[in-house]
This record gives sequence, structure tokens and C-alpha cells, in this order.
Amino acid sequence: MLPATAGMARAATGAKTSPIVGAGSAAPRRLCAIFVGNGVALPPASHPAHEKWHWFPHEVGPNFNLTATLEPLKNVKGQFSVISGLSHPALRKIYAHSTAGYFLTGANPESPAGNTISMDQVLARYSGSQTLYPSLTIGTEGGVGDMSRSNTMSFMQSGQPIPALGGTPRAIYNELFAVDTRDKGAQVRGFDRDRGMLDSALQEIKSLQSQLGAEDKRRLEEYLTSIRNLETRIDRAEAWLDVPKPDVPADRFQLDADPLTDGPAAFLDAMYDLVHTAFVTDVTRIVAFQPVGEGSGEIAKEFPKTLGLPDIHHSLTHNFDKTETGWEDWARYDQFQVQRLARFLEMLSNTEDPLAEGSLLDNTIVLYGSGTSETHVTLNYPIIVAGGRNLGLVHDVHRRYDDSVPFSNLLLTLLQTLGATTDQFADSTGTLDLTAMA
Amino acid sequence: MKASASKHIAVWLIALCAISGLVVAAALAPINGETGPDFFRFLGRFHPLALHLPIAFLVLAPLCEASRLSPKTAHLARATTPILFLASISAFLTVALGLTLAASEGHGGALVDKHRWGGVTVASLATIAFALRFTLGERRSPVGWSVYGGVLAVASCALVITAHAGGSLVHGPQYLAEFAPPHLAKILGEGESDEPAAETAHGDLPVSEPTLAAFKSDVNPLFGRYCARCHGDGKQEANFRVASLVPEMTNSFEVHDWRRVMNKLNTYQMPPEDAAQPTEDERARIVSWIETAMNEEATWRRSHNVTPHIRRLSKREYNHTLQDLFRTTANFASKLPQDPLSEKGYDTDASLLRVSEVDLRIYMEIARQAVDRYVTFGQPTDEVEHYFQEFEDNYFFGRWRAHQLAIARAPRPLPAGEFEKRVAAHEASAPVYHEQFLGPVPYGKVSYSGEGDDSDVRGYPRRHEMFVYIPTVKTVGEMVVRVSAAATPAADDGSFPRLRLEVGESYDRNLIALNVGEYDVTASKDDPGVYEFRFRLEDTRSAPNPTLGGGPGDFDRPLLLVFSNVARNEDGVVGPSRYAQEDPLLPDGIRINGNLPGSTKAVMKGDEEATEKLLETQPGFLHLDSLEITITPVAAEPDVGWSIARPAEGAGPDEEQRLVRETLEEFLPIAFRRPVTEAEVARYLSTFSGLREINESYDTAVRETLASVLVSAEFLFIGAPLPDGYLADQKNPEAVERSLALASRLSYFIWSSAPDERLRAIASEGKLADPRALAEETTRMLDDEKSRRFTDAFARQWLKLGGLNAGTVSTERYPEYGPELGKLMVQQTVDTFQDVFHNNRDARSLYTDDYMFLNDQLARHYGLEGVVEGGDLRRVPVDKPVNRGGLIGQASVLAINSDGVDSHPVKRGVWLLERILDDPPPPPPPNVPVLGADGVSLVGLTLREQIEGHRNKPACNACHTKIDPWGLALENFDASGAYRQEVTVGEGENEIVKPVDAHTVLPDGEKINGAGDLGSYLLSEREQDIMRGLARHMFAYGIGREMDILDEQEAEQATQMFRTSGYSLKHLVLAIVQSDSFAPQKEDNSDG
Repeated sequence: MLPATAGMARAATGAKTSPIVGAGSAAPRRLCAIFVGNGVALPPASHPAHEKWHWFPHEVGPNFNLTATLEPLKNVKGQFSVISGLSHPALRKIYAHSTAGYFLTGANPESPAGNTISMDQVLARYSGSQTLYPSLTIGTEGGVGDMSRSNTMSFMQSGQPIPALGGTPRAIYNELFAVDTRDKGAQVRGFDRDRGMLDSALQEIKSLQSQLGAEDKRRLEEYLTSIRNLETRIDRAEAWLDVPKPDVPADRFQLDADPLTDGPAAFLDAMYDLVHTAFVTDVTRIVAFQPVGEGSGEIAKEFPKTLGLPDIHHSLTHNFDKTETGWEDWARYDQFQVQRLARFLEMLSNTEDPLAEGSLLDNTIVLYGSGTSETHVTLNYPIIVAGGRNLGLVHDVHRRYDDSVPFSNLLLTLLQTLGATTDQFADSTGTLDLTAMA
Repeated sequence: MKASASKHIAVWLIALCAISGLVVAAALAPINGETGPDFFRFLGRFHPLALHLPIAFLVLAPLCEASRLSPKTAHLARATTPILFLASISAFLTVALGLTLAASEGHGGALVDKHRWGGVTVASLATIAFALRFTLGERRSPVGWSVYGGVLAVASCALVITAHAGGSLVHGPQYLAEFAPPHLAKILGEGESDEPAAETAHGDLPVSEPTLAAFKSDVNPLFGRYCARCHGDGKQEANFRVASLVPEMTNSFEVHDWRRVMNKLNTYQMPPEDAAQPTEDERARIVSWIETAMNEEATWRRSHNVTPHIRRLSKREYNHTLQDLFRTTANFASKLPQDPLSEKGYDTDASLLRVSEVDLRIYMEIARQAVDRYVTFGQPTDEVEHYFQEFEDNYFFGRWRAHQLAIARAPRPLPAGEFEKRVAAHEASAPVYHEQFLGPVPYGKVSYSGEGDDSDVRGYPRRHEMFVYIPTVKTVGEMVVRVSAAATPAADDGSFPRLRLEVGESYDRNLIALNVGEYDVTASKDDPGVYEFRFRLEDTRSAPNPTLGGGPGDFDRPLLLVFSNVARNEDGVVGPSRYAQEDPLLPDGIRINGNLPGSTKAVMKGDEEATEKLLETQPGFLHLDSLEITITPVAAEPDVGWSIARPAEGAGPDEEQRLVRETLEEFLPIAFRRPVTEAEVARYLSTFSGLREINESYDTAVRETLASVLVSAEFLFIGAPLPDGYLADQKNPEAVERSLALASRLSYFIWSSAPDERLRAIASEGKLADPRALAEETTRMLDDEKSRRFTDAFARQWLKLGGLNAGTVSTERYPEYGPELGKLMVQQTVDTFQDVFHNNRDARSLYTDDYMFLNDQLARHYGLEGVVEGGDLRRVPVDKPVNRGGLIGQASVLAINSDGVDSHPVKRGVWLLERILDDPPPPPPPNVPVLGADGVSLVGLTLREQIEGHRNKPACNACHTKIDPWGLALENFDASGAYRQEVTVGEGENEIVKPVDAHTVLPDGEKINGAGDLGSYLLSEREQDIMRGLARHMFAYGIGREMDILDEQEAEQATQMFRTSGYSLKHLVLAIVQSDSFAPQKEDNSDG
């Protein structure tokens, strides 16, 4: 059963969908970027598991067969492509599985700023104003993490991380769909109080700033940015006050799914369901989602054990040669993640886009992948690009590129396809042709 | 003639084929900086030998041709054809070997390309020259001969260029230029730009011009000579290229690189033994240049205010600051995300503490909640609440609707007077206990799982616990629970039960409860003892959230108290208790168990059997008698929060302003950690007036105003500059400024919180600038209980104890392990450090085993049963040899540095180098293969054996010979930190048991066996290093930023003071706070 129904969509109901005049007139183009940490199992050709459990298809070009890992995608074959060979050149020298924070930015971690704007945020500048939430960053863990184990993929121009909503599906639901039960007057009063408090903080910083050294100034600047962003958010919430939030009942989702007792599938599917509903109800068109982070010490690391695999995620990806079934165990976990993706893609594909021709998937580009191929190899990211047929993408092909093509070229290509009028992103050297079957 | 023509054609064809073949081979050779198979490396190394042949032949050929000039030697010219043939063949061979060498030895880069294509050109030209010469024979063809001559000349030039490129690859690009006469040097130098770098023009760079000049003339050539061979254009071993070293040091990454180089040179790790060594003088010249430049850079950075002065409060500090401001122990910061840790592992690093939008939202929320809870107006309207309950009257069902019945029958608040009467009556009568005696729990993880259910469900009480509902609607205030209880000690060893109280709320199958304390219960049943628990109600409650539907925190729940006996015993039981399934005190007719489902019957049967077993073994039992509860709301607590007067009915705005001004004049100096100016008070007063103007109530306006103070930068950041005009009317402005800055740094260092009133007073008079006053205050603060916040946080961060959580140790492999044991292990380590610190013991005793902090559970884990009784960790003398070397052999750090199932010598080695010796190994290179990636089977090998395998690989060996031995000495301890003599490899059928081998040879050649040896080696041979390591770690925590070279010098001085104090940690703190690094003198800050 689909968690969202067409009835929830405010789509195409005319006037009261967006406070911004003229917004929403163009057909929607959506992005969902999904990052899965620690790479994927790629058993070497000499290993018996190679044939079946290699993440990448063995054939290149249009006639490729799904390996067991990608098998769950068979129902949407024709609506996605596999891409191999790409990687971020600037990340090839960093200690691996510390890539999540750079996956969508391509920045050099050793540059003075540390990081820079991520691709979803670039897109949000172009089309974010059309929805209540310009973009949405979510993850199993939530928050920021640290740069060696980032829990977010979204970064501002200054390199400041945008914390991910997460920890539980409920945190995401509450942000997107929970309805404030106070009356309008009380809500406006709440906004005013917030603004008053922020304004007080802002004035105080200004009085301090004139006396600060360069480094200190930079630090306070970040705080200032946060204040301004929050003010913008409040203004935005106020502007949208007359547009009713879509009526999305909480009991449609397993919001309190516990990854241990209810299983990781229930937990992750609830998050995917929320993304799907966010698209149907058009509260946002840009999502960055990190179902599985890197390293250990997080919620997701126990997922494999809960699924009956022998070890935690980090160990699965490191100890694949210690036991006979090591590669397969790892690959089965990859397969589990692909199953979640497949379910999500099928759901998008089975839902008619309330705002445009075709299915949701036809107007949504889903980018799925990891920042390492195997755990410690910073080349050849495993990548799936799905959907976006109405935007011109052609699928059912395994595209292989060589090392000289930076991953940013793919990100730039997707940005342009999604309507961003830019001809450069990070260290891109050009674009890829995703509209041909080659 | 025809035959000869076809012969010529054949020669040309072969020559052209060979040339194109060579070009293709050269283009395709994988010269990408990666190392190839050993056999090719062996072959490739003949390249330097073979290359002399084509050189010789190509020099000889023109000489032979020149012999025609004299008729006497003209006959020699006939030799040129065979010589050119040999030149061509040998050039091909040389190029082929060269390509093999470059592809298999990890060469790459522009210079290698130049050399490669030079070689190909030489070989091609030599071949063409041979073919031309062969075709020309003795014929007279002026055109042919001049073409031939030209080719020969070009080949010679190409030869020279190629050879020079080769020389540069081997000896560095400056190998010719270095000692050449100046005017030649320019031509010979490779790519050396003579123009000064653009920035040097404006003259304000971190490194001074003379120093830069010295680099060019004295230092750079040495790099060319000794380093460029492996770290040059042709080859970048360890991803490092000397040319990438920037002498200007314009950013911190560059300084980092230089520090790395300096360490390698200082410790004689570079150049490697088998390479040409610089003289001592040359080595010293480089090192002292780096030191000078780094010094200049650090000084420059400070004088240009690039070094941070301000930093955000960490989550920990923010919490303690609010606790001190509102005078309560409640936890404020639980909603804030964890702070990132610095490279050295501390949460005090200014550059990492940022304020994100989400942080700010949480700060606003916490600030509002805090003033909401702890700011009260006028007289208390909320009364103190009392409860009294005899346990024998307690009624709790955990199943079905009985839960409603339990709430209905829960104790009610007693009217004033009634409570005292009940308590007095109880004291006068003999104790009556609840029928259920609480037995101990087994060792290992206490699992609440029911049958067919993997999760820990705590919906109803078990054999060792009792639930009590308290239907209070209060959510804030102090709660005191006094429990009257008694013990039946264990029949065998006389051990006592341990009473734990957890308080929280129940959610369906789960409960969210906070452990508020534990006592060993020793009172006998004739004379029960009273055990008191004191805690903040708000820490046990989840706040209701009206905007959300469903889930925790959405409606008022009764408070749930869980009393349990958590003493451990081998025969302990964690079974469902029948007291949760039926009520034996009710008359039969209204028992709910009349029609029990099968599972409940099984539970009751199981409980009866468990009870029988418990009675048989007679472990210590806990008996509960009665319960007294007092809940005091904030308004009735004289020492908590802020009580603010309300203006009298009908009083005008002036009266309001006066009252709020009074509040602000008291509140602001505490929040801002210094006296405030009139302008600041006026600003917040106008915030208040603004809120009143938009018709907010007086209470709300006051609360919003105070909450605004708590999201201001002055509050959230330490070290913010003083407001304009503050210093204008001070007698000694510099002393006051420094003194105030020091006060904050000092109190956040030692108390993790704001200065108290006395410290603020001293600081605002400028007295703290006097070193004697500083020392006096520091000593006073170290004696305060609040200094335990520092020692607790430091011990955890220094030793990375945060790494121990529920999943760290496999409970499948180690059933004795449980989260509780994990907590005890960490607490032991913290207690060990705090004991040495606060009792001013010699810091070296951290590395001995004479005393340990133990309770019975932990003692058992260490194999020391019987040395201690009871559940509180206490310092006990240990006379058995435990051979753990103190801290380095404590279970916590051993478990953290394991992989959950087995020990992990590499992790343990890295930990010891980082944390104890402060000599961290370099990070592993990117794309490092995992063990066994080369196809070698690791099945059945111990980790030690696997590791020895990787040390045989040259790529791993360089670093791992310095890491692994430290960890191997700790092989006697398994992943739970317990002692072992055997190690188990594999699982199930493949399980093999091997004896433990803890012998190792440390990097300096010392042969040791086990942790005891390691501890005594550290104390005898490396005493200064381990004490310096500790001092430097505390220094880094204290200064709150990455250390630069000036900080390191200061840290070294502090280390010396630490040593002369006989390694007293309190003296170390004194030395740190007195260093310039701790509170730098503010210099000219006109820049920026």
C-alpha cells in the first residue's frame, strides 16, 4: 500500500499552493540523492562469489545483466542506469570511508575552508523557492557528525554543514507534516518572539564584531549566518502560514519503527515513504538522504546484525576475507540496501505525478551511490542514476568512464538536467551524455 | 640490384615497425605511480646499467664518420653501420627496461614523461640513422648524406636532453645547477623560477624575507640532493613531493607538512638507511631552518590575531554554566548534538566549535525552557508534595488493563500533617516487608527478553525488581525518595544486596528511566536502614509537546519508580515475576488471573522454580519495607533558580522597569562573566519594553528577555571582547582586560563553567594579572568539588573512553560482558585518574598496579575475586601480581581497542602511541589494502599471525614496526579486557585454540613479554616520555586549539615544572594556566 494518496496532494488545486507568485508554474524537477557508506562488495574475479555477488554488472553498455546484488531492481529495469569509473579526484588521497561529507561537494578536504557548497544546495538556489522547504536533508543518524564521519551530505557555500533530520522517522515527519495546533494569532506571536530573540542576538554580535581579529570574526560570522538563516526560515514559515500544510496523518507511517525490534527495513522504508510523501505533497523537491553512514558507532552499524548477518556493517566491509562467506555476507547487505531503493523507485514509478505528465519517477532524478568502491578504495564509485525520463535521461545502460572523468561531471550534468543554469560545479571538466544509449 | 633494393626496403620496414611498436608500448606503459610485480622491478633495475650502451654507441658513431676527414683513419667509417645497428638495438633495450622500471617502481610525473619520450626519440632516431646509413652505403648522394648527418646530430642532442632528465630523476632537478657557476645554474636548473613569488612584494608574510632567502641558498639544495630522488618529480613516495613544501607557510596545511618533515629528520627516519645521508651539519641546518620559520609563522599568526581568542562553549560547558546560573543539578544539554573532537581528541577546540542553525534552534528552546522552569514570580503557589507507602500495600500489574488498576491504586499525595503522622506511626511499629524478596541478577548482560522476542522489553517487573507508580503531575523540582529496606546476606560469602532506584515513565512495552543511585544494603531485617535518593524530577520526565501527536511525551503519565537488587551472583535470576501477573493480596474473587493465558501460567511456574532455586543457593536478598517521597517545586526551593518580584497591582511602567533593571543587574554579570555596562543593561531593558509594547504579559516579557541573554554571543562564547567604553574608566585597563579574559579561561578549564562571584570580583579589579593571585585562585578552584568536572572530562577524552559502548564487546563471545560492566570499566579508569589528581599522588603511579578501583563485579573480571565486597568502586590494595602496567592494562582501554571479538594489537599500539606517548603514527595511506587482499588466506590465523604477515610487506612495514609491538605486548588480554592464556580463532567447527604469545621487541630493541614488562619499561626507560605525553595532552585540552611551535615550547616548560613538582598533576595545571599559550597577551589587533 502506498503511504500517500492523491488526496494529500495539494497539487494543481490552484491559488493557495504557494505564497510566491509565479512559483510552481514550471513542471517540477526533483532530486533525491542517496548516500550509502563504506562502499560495496566487489569480490575479485578469482573468487567464487565474483560472478553472482559483484555489485557492478559484468557487462558494459545497453545489454547488461543484473548481478544478484542489483537483482531487486528488476521491476524498474529500464528506468535506471548503472555508472562505474567515476570518483572525486580531490578525495582520492584522503583516508577512505570519510567521504560522505564530500560526496555532493567534491571539495578538497585539505583546502582552507574544508568544504564547500553541495550539489543539492546549488539546486535549491535555483528552484528551492517553489516549495515550503527549499531542500530537505535527512539521514538515519541525523545531525552533523564530524568530517571524518559526516552525518550530512548538505553544505552551505561557506562549507558549513547543514544538519540532517533523523535519528527516527518521527523527527522527519514532525518537521515536514506535524501541524501546529495553536491558533494563527498564537503562531504569529511565536514568530514575533523568535524574531525578537534573534534580533537581540544579532545586535549584540554587531557590537562585538568591530573589535575582533580575522579568525574570531570568521567564527562569529558563522553564528551570524545561522541567525540569518533562522530568520529566513521564520519569515518563510510565516509567509506560508495561510497555505495549509498537507494533511498527512501520522499513522500512515511506521514513525516509531525501531531499527532493532522492528528491523532496519521498517525503519528505512518509513524514511523512504516520507520522501515519497514529501514529493507527492510538494513540500520539497530536493532531498539528500543518508540511510547508512560510514564507520561505526551509529544506529545503522547494527543493521546487518539485526538482519542475521554475522557482523556490524563496518566489520562486514573489512573482514570479507576472514571467512568463506565474507564477500557474500557483505554483498547480501548491499542487496538489502538495493531492495530498499528498489521499493522506493517502484513506489515513485507507480505514483502519478500530481503536478506534471507521467509518474513521479519520470520527473525525479534519483542518484544512489557510495564514496568508495570497496571500503578503502577511493576510485570507481558504485552509482545508480534512476528516473528523470521526462527530463531527457535515457536508461537501461551500464555506463563506464575512466579515472580522468571527475564525479563532478555527473553532478553537473544532473544539475543542468534539473534546470540549474550553471556550466561549472566543483572541479567539473565537462558534462556526460546521459541522453544516449552508449 | 633488385635483391639489394628489396633488402633496403626490408630494413626500412623493420625499422619503421620497430619504431611504431616502441611508441605504442611507451604510450601504453602503466606509469601511474603504482608499484608492480617484483620480477618486473628486478628487470627494470637493469635500466641504469643498459643505458650506457646506446650512449657509447651514439657517441662513437659520429666519431667514426668524422674519421673520414683524415685518409689515414677513413677506413674506420665503415664501422658506423654496425655501430648504429648496435646503438639502435641497445637503445630499444634500454627504453624497454626503462619503461619496465618506471611502470613497476611507482614512478610518475612530468619529468618521467620527459625522460620517457626522450628515450623513445633517441631510440627512434638511432634506428632511422642506421637505416639511412645502411641505404646510403658508399653512394654519393649529397641530399641523403645531409639528411643522415642531421638525424645523427638531432639524435645526439636528444641523447643529452634525455640523459639530463634521467640525471634529474635520480639526483634531483638541481643536481647540475647546485654547484655550477651562477650564470650556468640558471640554464641548468629545472623549472626554477628566478622571480620572487608575487606575495613577497608586500612584505607581510608569516616567514620573513631573510629566512626565505636562507631557504633558497642553504636548505632547498639539500632537499634536491637527499630527498628529490624519492620525493621528486619522478616519484612521490608516501604521496609526498619536496617541491610541494612551501617555505612561505601561508596556511596551516603547509605548517603541518613542515612539521612532518622536521620530525622525520629529527628522528633519523629520513633519508632511509640505504640512501645517501646528509652530514650532521646539513641535517641540523635543515631542522633549525624549519624551526626558525615555524617560530616566525607562529609569532606572526598571533600578532595578526589569526589565533582564535573566542570559542563557543562546548555542550558540556554549556550544561554546567546553566546549572551554575540557575543553581540546579538538572541536565540542560541533552538535546544538543555531540561536539566534534580535535585531532588530539578534545571537545575544547575553538576552531571546531561552531553554531549551526540547528544548534541555534536548540539553544533558543533550552533557554526558554530554562527560564520557564527556574524563573519564578513572587510567592510560591505550588506546594511541596508528600507521599508515603508501605511496600506491602504496593500493587503493580504489568499486564493488560491491570495497568489502569495499578495507577488507580497508587499512593496519593498526603495532606500537610498527615505525612508526618504516617512516618511517625511507621517508625513506632515493627517492620513488615513485601512478600517478594528481590534476588540478585546473573553476571553478564541483564537481558529482559521474553520468549520469542529479541528485544529488551521492560513492560512489567522481573524477579529482582519492583515497580511503584507515583501519580504526580509535577515535572520540575527536587525529588527525595527515602526507602526503608533490609538485607538477608548471602549464605556462602556474606555478600549484600544492592538497591538501585530508577525513575522514569512507562511506555507500553518499554520504559524510559534514569538510574538515580545505588546502595549496598547492609541493615538486618530486625532493624531496616533508610536509603535516601535525591534527584531532579525534570531529568526523569520527557516534556510534553502539544504540537505533536503520539509517541513519547504526548500526555501526562504517572511517574514510575523501579526498585531492584542489582547485586550479581552466578545463580541470579532475571525472570518474569508472578507479582506482576497476579495480586496475591487480593481476595480470590477479584483476581485477574482466574483465566490466565498459557504464557502467563508458564511465567508463574518459571518464577516458582526460580524462587526455589534462589532459596536453595541463598544469595543476598533485598527486602523492601516502606517509601517516603517529597517533591519540592522550584518556587519552594530557596537555593534554586531565580525568584523575581512582580510589580504591585496598578503600579506603572516605571515600577516594572525598576524591578527588571534590578534583575538584569544581577543576572547579566553572571551570564556574561564580568561586570556589565549601563548600555548593556539598557539594551536588554529595551528588549523588555518592546515585548511589553506588543502586549506580552509582564511574566512573559521578563522570561523572553532573560532567554535572549542566553542566546547572545557574550553568553555562548568565551573570550568575547569587552564592550566599547568598558575600559575607559579603569585605572589599569590592560590588567583588567587580561584579568577578565584569564578568569573565564581559568574557570572553563578547571570547572567547565563560568567564574563564581569571588573570581569575577578579583578579575574585575585586574588582580588576576598578578601571577601570585592567579596561582592562589587556581589552587582554590582545584580544591573545589567542581574541579571534578574537569578531571572526569579530561580522563575520558585523554584515554578515549567514549569508545566503549554497548556494542564494543561481543556479548556472544563474552557472555560475562554487559553494558553495566562496561560502565564500571570506564568508571574505574576515571576514578583511577581522579584519585591520583585530587589526592595529589605521583602521576607515575598511574602506571602501577599496587592499588586498583574495584567492586565485586569488576574484581571478578580481573580475576581478583574476594579482594573487595559490595557494589561501590573503591580503592583497594592489590597484592597479587596482575601485571597490567596500570592504565595501559585496564579493561576499558583494552576493550575499546579491540574488534569486539579478539584483541587488536594495531589499534592498541596506535592508542598507546597517541594517548600515552603522544607520538601518533601517521594516518594510513589511502587505498590501503586490507589484510589478505592479496589472496593469502587468513582463515585459522590469530590476529597476531595475520599482522606479522602484513609486516612482511615493505609498504606496511615502515609504519607498523613502530606500532604493532606495543599492542602485541598486551596480547594476554582479550576483547573484554580479561586475562587469557589462550586465543581462540574461528568459529564452530573451524575453531582452533592457540597459546597466547605476548613477546615482542619494541622499536628501540627492548625485548619484553606482556603488559607487566611494558608498564615497567615505560616507567624505567620512558618515564619522561609518558609524563611529557600526559602533560602535552592536558596542555592541548587547556588551551583549546591545535598546538603550534610556540605552544610546544610552552608545553615543554610546563612539562619541566611538572617534573620538578615530583609529577603532581595539580602543579601541572598551575604550570599550564601560567603559560603564555593559555591566555596570550593580546597584541596589536588593528589588522583585520
